[in-house]
Amino acid sequence: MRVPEGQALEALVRALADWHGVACPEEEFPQLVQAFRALMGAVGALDDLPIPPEVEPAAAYRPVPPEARP
Amino acid sequence: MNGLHALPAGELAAAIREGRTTATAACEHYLARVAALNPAVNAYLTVLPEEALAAAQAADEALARGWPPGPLHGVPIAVKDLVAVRGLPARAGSALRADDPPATEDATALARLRAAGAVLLGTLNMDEFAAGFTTENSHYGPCRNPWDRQRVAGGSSGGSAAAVAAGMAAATLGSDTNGSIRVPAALCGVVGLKPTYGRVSRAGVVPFSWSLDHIGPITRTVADAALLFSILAGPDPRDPSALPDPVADVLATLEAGPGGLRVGVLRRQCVAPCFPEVVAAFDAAVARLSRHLAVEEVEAPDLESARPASAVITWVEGSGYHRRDVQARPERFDPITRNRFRAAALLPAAAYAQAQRVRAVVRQRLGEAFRRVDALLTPTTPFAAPLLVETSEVLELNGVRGPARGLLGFATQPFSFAGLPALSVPIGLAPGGLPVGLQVVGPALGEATVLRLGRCLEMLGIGGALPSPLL
Repeated sequence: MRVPEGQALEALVRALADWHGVACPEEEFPQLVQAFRALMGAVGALDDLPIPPEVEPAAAYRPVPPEARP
Repeated sequence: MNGLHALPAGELAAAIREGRTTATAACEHYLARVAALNPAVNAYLTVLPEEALAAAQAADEALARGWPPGPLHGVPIAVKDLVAVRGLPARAGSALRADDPPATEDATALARLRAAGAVLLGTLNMDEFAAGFTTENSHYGPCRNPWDRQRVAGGSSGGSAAAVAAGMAAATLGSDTNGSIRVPAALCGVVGLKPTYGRVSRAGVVPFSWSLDHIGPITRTVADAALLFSILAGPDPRDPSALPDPVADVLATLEAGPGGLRVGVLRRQCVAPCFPEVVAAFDAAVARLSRHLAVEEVEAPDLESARPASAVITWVEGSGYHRRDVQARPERFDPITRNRFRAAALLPAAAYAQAQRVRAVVRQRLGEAFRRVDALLTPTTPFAAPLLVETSEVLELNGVRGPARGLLGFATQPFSFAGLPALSVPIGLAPGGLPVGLQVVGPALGEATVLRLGRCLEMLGIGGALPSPLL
């Protein structure tokens, strides 16, 4: 996932924040951009993992899969 | 009896049962310590002296009438501020919820401790909505480390760990989403247990991240952690994530010793990146342990993905829970927290799904490691308690760069992400005189093994709670 930099990033964050109803005062905007960039960094770190297609998100909600039960 | 605050919870309960002291005397003793020490430590946000004394007197009267005592009969405890207490708003360290109506019933975890006879002293400081590792609470002030009050107590259950370390409660409840029981336990030199996800009910606890939140005890000894776990664990119809499985008898195997156990050390992934003084303490503990059981180095492929994936899940779920308030009353949040919740609201939904898929993979990889060993060992935190003024300092661990306050969860985050039971036990002091913790991680529902190994550390003189200067 490509995250833009500079003014393009700021424009993206501004548009998304408006869309989701979480726009912030101008003096806090740099912190919001910084937080968004940090989270997108985490998202990017997961992008290239070779996860087999059969792995389902739902498996994560089964805290103890049957095969793990002692 | 003098020195009641130095007794582990189980031993204090025995002293009360056997008439060597009373619940009222224990309660008065602890309340006096809270009054004397809390202004310096700021572990408590609410103290309930009248309610606690009334409960203690009722406990003594019940005992006098021959009522069978519970395993914590008359023992003074306290709970993290996000645990619902009948009659108080569950404010979770926030200003936002301080004016909420009072809870009409206790959280299940607290109700179980009270049913076992525990006496509630109050609620404890934490990072706002559990979003942090340092308990630098901007509304109620930071919780200070009893070992050095210029340093953080860790978080988000900082008050829970500091209260035990300073002898202001015999045991406490904390919550752990990415390390929030284990990190403060390690930094304050006490024992902290994060059970398997779903093993202890979260009903009545203000959530941070639904699919990652765990409830567990912080205590002075491993035996106390096992005792509280045995009271807390079990199914609960009020919590849809609560596991239906029968609870292992952790007390029966606690003293079984190290014989036959095999442990793995995640050296490259979780040990090598830590600060030298932490690695030295960890290696010394493992070297001593290796005289009694088999130790091997292991790897868990893809474990590095756990941290970013856990961050995505944590903040997206937290943002979802707080969405209306972030939109309508953002000024009531801590500024750092509200901007993270805002930012998480902007992430693509596919990222959350991907993070949950990574979770399934990491859980599977760790499951493979547990086919070779009974438990995994790591340092609990990569460094000892930082100064309050140092928490924003940017550090780098194994290519992960960020403020010190976030990196405190470097070694704990992967295992809450996988929902596995994990225990932090103190293993000594770093050269600066600050506690260092060792983390024991077990397979799903492996609390008995984790606690047995933690108890081994105590029995062999390798680990165990350290008396803080305030104890």
